[in-house]
Amino acid sequence: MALTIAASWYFLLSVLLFGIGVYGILTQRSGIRILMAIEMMLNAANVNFVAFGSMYGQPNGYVYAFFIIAIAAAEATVGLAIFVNLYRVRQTIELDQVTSLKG
Amino acid sequence: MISMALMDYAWLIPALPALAAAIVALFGLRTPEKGGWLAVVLVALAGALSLGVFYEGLVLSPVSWDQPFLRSFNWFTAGNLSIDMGLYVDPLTIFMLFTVGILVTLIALYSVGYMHEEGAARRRYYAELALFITGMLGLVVANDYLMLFVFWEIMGLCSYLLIGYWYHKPSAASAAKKAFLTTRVGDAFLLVGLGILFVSFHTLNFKELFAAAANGAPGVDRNVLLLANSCVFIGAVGKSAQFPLHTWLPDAMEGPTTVSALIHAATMVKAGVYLVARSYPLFVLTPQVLIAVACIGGFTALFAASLALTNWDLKRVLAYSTLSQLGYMFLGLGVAGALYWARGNASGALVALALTGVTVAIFHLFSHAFFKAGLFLSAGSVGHSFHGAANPYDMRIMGGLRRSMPITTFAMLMGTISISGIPPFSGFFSKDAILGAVYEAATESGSTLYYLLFAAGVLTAGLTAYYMFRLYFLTFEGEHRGVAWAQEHGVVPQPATRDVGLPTHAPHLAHAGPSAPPTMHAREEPSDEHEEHHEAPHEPPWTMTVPLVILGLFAIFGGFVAFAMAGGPFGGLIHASTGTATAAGGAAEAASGSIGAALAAPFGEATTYLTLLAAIIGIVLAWAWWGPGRAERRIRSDADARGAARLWQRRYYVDQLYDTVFGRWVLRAATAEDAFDREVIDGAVNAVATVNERSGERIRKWNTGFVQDYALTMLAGFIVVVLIVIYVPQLPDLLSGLRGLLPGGG
Repeated sequence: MALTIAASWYFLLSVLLFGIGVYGILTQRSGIRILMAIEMMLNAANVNFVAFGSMYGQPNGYVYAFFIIAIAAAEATVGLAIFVNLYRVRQTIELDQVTSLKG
Repeated sequence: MISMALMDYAWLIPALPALAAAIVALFGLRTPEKGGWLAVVLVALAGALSLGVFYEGLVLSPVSWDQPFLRSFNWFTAGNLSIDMGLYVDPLTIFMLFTVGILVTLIALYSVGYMHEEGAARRRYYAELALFITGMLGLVVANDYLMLFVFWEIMGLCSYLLIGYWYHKPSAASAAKKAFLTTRVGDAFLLVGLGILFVSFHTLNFKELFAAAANGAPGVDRNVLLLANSCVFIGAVGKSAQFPLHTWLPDAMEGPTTVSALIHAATMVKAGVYLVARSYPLFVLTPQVLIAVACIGGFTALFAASLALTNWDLKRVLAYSTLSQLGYMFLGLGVAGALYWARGNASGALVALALTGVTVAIFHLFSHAFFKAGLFLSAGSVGHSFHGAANPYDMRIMGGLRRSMPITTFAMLMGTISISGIPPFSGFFSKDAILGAVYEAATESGSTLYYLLFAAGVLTAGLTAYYMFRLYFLTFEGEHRGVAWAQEHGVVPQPATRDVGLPTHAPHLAHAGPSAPPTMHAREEPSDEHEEHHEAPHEPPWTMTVPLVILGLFAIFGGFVAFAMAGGPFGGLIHASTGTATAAGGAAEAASGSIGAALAAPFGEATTYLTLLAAIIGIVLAWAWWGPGRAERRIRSDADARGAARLWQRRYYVDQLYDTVFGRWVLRAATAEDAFDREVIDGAVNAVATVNERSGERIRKWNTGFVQDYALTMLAGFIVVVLIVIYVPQLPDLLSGLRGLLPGGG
């Protein structure tokens, strides 16, 4: 048996990644950074899936991880396209500048 | 079979005018006379088809009361209820088709000349006219009370639209509303009556209803049926403008004269008579209603005739005469009530007498339709040439028109003689048939009431002859007076406002142009600065004179035409008035006799001479008072009316009574309801709206438009949910319980 790491460390990593992601989303103003934060949250979920998959010795967790990676790629594409267009219209991607839904 | 072919296409009779209405409404402006000729052609086609069906039903493959021609298709089905739409062609139908078909064609043709100067508004006129005609023709061929009611209402709507054709005149607008609302009273009753009939018989189909009625209507409570028949009759009273729902008809004169002719002669008011005639198999089961029919008819005949005695308005006199003649028809329809009145039970003789009543009433409907159309169209022709006077139908400005308008005079004179009941004009035979039937019924039953009704009928005949000849002498004989003469003598106001007797109406706005200085006197043009009128009275164009001549001829020969039909399989439809009228065999006997015998029959009766005497006295009085050279002394202004004349001018104060009752009390109730509606109901709705608006106003502040605020809110919400799930132990149970409630869940 090679070096084994207790599963709880993986979960700790996942929680950390997720927390950083949430913090990024709530504090950052730049759209690009928020996208990056979202990616971190998604990958936190991936880590969880893979860890559980490894723990129970089943492939389901790995398969889910692949799906999430694919979806995340699509999401990033769409998000970037939105920001490109947002920049064309408003000349900014700072989200505190984009508040036309203010009631 | 060729003979059945036309009958199969009878549905086209109402469909063609309906098509005309649609085409004229959509494309009328691009066709000659703004749709006029299009309407005339399609209506004439329907008229020709009506005649074809009439001929076929009479001669080629005769229809009878018991074996009508039937065609139907399923109109709609709702649950167990299936309503058919279709044709019901029996002798009554083909007779109505003959009358209505000819008249609507002639009136449509006349319209082309009469409405020529109306411009683009004619499109509206012709579309509505065609739809109106659709209503009447559809009503006549309908095989079902529901379908009849639909066409009945189409006619009600079109009468409203056409009476209010000159809607910019307040008087016309209010007359249209009056007609619509008054007939609506009757319509509401009719609908209730039909509802009761449906609940009782589970059908409104004529064939099924009449078959059940012929078996004595098993399982139907007589009192319920009495209520139903009464309601149906009130519907007819409203449509036919019988007392007490008569007030709309004289005001309906505000429409174009062609519309008046249509309403009075061929459609609308005749629909009420038709409805009662059609419903006679039901009515004989509750003969009390027949007594009411006769009483209302006899009373209206006399009542309306008295109103016409002193009126100065050509068209209004004719309107009252229509009321009066319709009263005759209802009197005829109700003759069978006499037997019930005397013996208190319904019998076979009563049914036979009821059929006789229908026969004589429809005969009078037929002859009245033609002479009244002739009278109205003549009046229209007169008014056409006084176009521009304050009231172009005021007889005080007329006189001597015989010289300038010979054709009009011919039609008017023929109509006048006919309505007065002078032999051998058509009105004589039909009126005599009704009075003969009433007299027979009275003697048969010994009923005092029917003797009284007969006396009212005879008296009305005298009054009719008087006021009609008064009208004729004032209009066509003597010297021409003109507007100037009338104003100089102070008999028409200057500048004129008409309808003193009409408290409901605002004064005329239209046509109240300034008048030329009064100059005496006749033969010159009726002086008037109205730009459209610079001519003396003249004959109208051929489109107007041709119908006049045809109608004049019908007024003379209509009686013969009708008798000629009596030789056919009509059986007793035409002549059952004299001799053995009360016996079932009387009809067949009259039918089997020759035309000559039928023509001679009335002269064997004493009652005929009584009626004739009354008419002659009326004519002589009219000549003595209103003849050439004498009329001028008797012409009065509206304000000078005294005594009975004043009472008649005020229409027995019935209109004023209605004004008081409905104009004041109902208005107050309506005002209160309006206040309730606005304060309470609208108030509740507005309160809900206000609460929502105010709270929305506050809540919208929470929307900062700042994405991260939303994200934070979501996070907070998520955390709250997680905390709840963790720390509220009952929640999982609760959730699974909820899941059990969901359809397919659990």
